[in-house]
Amino acid sequence: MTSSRIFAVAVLGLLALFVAIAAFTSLSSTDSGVSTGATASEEATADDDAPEPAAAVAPPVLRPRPELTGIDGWLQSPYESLDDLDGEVYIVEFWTFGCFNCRNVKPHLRALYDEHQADGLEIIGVHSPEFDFEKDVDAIQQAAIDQRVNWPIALDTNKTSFRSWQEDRRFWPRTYVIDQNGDIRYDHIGEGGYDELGETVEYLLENGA
Amino acid sequence: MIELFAEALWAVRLPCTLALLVPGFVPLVGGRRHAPLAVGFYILAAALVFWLRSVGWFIEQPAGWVAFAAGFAVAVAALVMYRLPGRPSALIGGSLIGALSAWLWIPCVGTHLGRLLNRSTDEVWTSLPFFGVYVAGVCALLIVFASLPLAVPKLEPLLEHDALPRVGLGIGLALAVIVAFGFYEDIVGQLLQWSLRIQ
Repeated sequence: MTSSRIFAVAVLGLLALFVAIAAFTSLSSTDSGVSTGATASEEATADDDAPEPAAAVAPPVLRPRPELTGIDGWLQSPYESLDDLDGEVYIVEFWTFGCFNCRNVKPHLRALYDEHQADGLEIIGVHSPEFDFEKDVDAIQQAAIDQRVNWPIALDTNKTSFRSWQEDRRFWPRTYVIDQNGDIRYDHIGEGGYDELGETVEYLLENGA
Repeated sequence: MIELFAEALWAVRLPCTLALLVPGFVPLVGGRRHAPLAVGFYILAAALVFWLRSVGWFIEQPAGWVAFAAGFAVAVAALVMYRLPGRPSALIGGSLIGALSAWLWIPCVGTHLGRLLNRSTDEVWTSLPFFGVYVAGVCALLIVFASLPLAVPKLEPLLEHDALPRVGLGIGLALAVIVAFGFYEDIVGQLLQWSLRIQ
């Protein structure tokens, strides 16, 4: 057997081992980490069943929130600027409707919104389209219905706010929590981090900034 | 690490991985007998650029003359792999195309990749291997295709097939034109739109 064949067999064997362990880990774990719409919904339901206590430690102040700039419209919103939310606790989520992972975050945001809207929590979904077909307002409205987004949506068609809020690196979805002073207290890229998100919101609602 | 790898494997069914997976066929096919080396360096370069992007480099995607230059570089890499097959061209071609693909790629950020991205600015160096694991998971198909003909003697003649170099060159030049003239995002967007309709 030549050395290149031994190498190829070793690579394939190692890959097969990794795949087998990954499959076993995913199947045997309740928190699989493999994100599907179904698991996201189930996790959201689990969150509903077992409410987390508010964090005892204040979440750190990360930085003052930037302005939302370049917004060319709002959907299902009584607001026209983040200034209208001064003194409130709110979540800003950068999303686009074609983004698979943004959809998986929605059940968790909805559960949090349902639980704390009456306490003063607001969510602003900043729709920053990745591709041209995601710029169509009718398609965004339809996606909001399909994905059950019932909070205000700011249209960031040219991704101006997407860039100015994410100076360091840019990904969808990205979720921020803003406190009563207008400071960012939570910053998370991608899916996950739902417990920490809930704890941050609950701390700010209960204790103030 | 295993869960991150599983998430990467699972992400292969989503259109957002195509931007990283499809260009990998250039070093895979163009590398011929050295395909494992070309694919290996494709994965290493892609992981390195993805890691750099996660810590704040290369955040602006190529556009205008930068995209044109990137497309030109892909064309040169594909031509070198075609005209001068061997280890050096497999290494250079795989690395160059891998780096560019990672620069153009916007990943699907699931739970575990999200966790990695969120801590990568605090744990800059220790996070690097995890990016390698994720990219290797997304490119697992390329690893299989590159290694299988060498591992299974009956498949070895595939590596010597006359059409292989021309197919590699064709894919490389097509990718170069798409990148250079700004069609890359349109094509990926169209694929995503089709996938959404199917869902």
